[in-house]
Amino acid sequence: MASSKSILAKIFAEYYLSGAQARQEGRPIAYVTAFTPVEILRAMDVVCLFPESYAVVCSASNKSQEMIQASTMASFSQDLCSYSLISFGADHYPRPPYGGLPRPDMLIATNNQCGTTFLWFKLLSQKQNIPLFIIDYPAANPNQSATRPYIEEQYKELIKFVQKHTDRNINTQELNEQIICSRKACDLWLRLHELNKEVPPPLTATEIVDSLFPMLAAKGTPSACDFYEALIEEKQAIRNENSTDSLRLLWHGYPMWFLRKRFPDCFDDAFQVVLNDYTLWWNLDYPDEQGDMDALISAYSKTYLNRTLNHKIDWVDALARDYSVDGVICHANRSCRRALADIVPLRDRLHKKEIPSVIIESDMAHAGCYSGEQVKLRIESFRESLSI
Amino acid sequence: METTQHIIARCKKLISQPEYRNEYLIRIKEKYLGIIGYFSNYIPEEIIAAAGFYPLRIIGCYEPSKPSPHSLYIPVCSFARDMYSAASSGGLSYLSQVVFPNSCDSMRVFAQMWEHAVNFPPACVLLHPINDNSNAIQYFAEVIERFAGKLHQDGGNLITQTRLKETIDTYNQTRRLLRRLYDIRKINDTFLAGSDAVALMTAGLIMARDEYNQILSQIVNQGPREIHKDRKLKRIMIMGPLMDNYGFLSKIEEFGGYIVYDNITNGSRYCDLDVEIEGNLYENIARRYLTSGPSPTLNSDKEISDQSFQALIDDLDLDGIIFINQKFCEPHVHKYLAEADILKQMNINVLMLEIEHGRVEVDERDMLRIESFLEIAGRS
Repeated sequence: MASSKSILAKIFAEYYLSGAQARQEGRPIAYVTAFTPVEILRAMDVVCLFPESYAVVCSASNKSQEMIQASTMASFSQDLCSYSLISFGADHYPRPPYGGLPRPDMLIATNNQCGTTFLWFKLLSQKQNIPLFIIDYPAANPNQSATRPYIEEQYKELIKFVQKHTDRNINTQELNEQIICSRKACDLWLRLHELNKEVPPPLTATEIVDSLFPMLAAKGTPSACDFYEALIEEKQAIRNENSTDSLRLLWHGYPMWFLRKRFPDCFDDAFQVVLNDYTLWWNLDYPDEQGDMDALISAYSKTYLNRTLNHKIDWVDALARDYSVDGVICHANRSCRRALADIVPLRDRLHKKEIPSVIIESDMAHAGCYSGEQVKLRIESFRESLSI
Repeated sequence: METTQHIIARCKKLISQPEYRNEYLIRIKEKYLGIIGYFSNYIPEEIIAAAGFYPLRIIGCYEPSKPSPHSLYIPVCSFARDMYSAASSGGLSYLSQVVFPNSCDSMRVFAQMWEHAVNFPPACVLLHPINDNSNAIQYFAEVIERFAGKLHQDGGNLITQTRLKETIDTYNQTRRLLRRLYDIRKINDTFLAGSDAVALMTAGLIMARDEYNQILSQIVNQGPREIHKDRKLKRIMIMGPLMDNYGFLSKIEEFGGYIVYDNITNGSRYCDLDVEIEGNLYENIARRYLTSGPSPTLNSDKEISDQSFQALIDDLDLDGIIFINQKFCEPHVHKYLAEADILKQMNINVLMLEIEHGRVEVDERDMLRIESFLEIAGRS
């Protein structure tokens, strides 16, 4: 079996070449938001590119501040989401990473993660005259009588929209296979996280975060499953049997993509993040007893950020218990308002359960919003309070 | 008979003096099953009224925030922050419940924080769609019908077809009168200043509807029929979310602007369409709300294009457009970014002002910007 590292490198290269290759082969390209039902699009031979993921790459390449500056020069407010600011800034940036993303033939946005992505894609559509399709997920519970048919109709409209702009039809066999692969990738993704229930945890939080990419770029394909299977096998093989008394932490919310390790540099073997719940947001539940469309509706309606506050708090609370954490670090990410709503209620719940927590304020991608010294000081004093 | 001047003064008091407003609402409350507050144009007030409740659009409080153990530290729009602060200091205690829209992340976060807070009036979220196609209308009609069922459970009043038709008719009457007001102001700039018109429209979101229709009818019927356009006045359209700060608008007028039209939540977007009263009423209500002048929180085919802008500009004889946005209001920032380009290409003067919702004073910088904008504004 190939190593996880080589499979990941292949997925990464294929993804960033896919735009240029699609252009050569005359295949359509769509920009999609992170929780778009890509299975439908891929079953219609559409190459899906994720501007949010590209913003992550730009941020990790230390380009965030310059790109955000470029977008604010073009009248964009600094208060907007840093992913969208980076994305718009990349258009005005002389040498963006990987040469930038190719111009798409269509834009597909959803609001099951936040309201910003839909506004961002709508603006992109208006400014560059690119056809846009928006999938509206009004409720976290697709079983509500009116919601399911409404979303189902939108999926049917999406297929018609893609047909209209590409002359391609949906391959239902391919769709079914995509869903099977997505379901399997999600199961493996969860299993990978669960390895860290062990003491000591076999994976660092950075390793898990850096393994997220195939959940976007290759979900619904066998290569994502191959990658996670290989990674799980490797980590199981080198599992450290020596138990340590380290303090186990849950990092709630987004990582900080501009940092070398994606998290502040103040963790070590005795004080480590065993779980970042953000990466589990990608673990969608595709019920296997339902038909293809129903499975997709269910999976994409119940994204973490589309759930009720109580559901989210219960979920994080359960994770803290299941992963036996000693404390929780909550990242109040300036860019994501929906995620910010959880922070204070979660802190209150953790307080009731006598689980110590600390809130640190920063941003997922905008390095200019990060104060290293201040964050370090806060985490260090949190560590001291846990050690008592 | 109450003079127009006196009516406008009363409207301004209702908007800007919380104590006066509270007294008015407490007096009103006794005649209804309760006051239901709501936060968006996508909440069908006809349904609330038909169920025997008093629908109250929640607007600014215009009072300094009292110290409160609860605060929205999240960077949501200043409107949401002000309202949260008002609720946590007991300033909205006359409400029996509130209805949140599914409009933007600020509102979504606000709703979640409201539900989490202790001692706030109970809340529900009306999950309206953001698309406006036929499936969306069907979906929204079901949501509205369920909402009607909930209100029946809460208050005991069954919403009959007859009752709903009567209520729709009352609200349609308001819309028609407001549209007439716009028509008069379009041709005659001596009738009512833009800031006064906005005060009049905003007060209607607070006042008992029969009383409001009566005063509105009186004002409209007194409106002049002759055309009067003072060429020295710069004819301005304002755009943005809820704009209840009429004092801010009067500054535009002090510098020689005439606010002839608007595209704001509590203005033309509130009254542009009626609800049909024949056929399935829930579907009619859903259709009206989803096809009315779209808020940028909606994905609509009716977005303003260069053609529709041109027609509007010609019809209104416009000299310029002022976008007045609230800080952290994402949908309207995006709307500005999309539409400013189109307008600039059409040589229309555009000014963007970003303000804090609750702040009554206009800062020096904005005054200067308004003044210089009005100096250069004009049709090329």
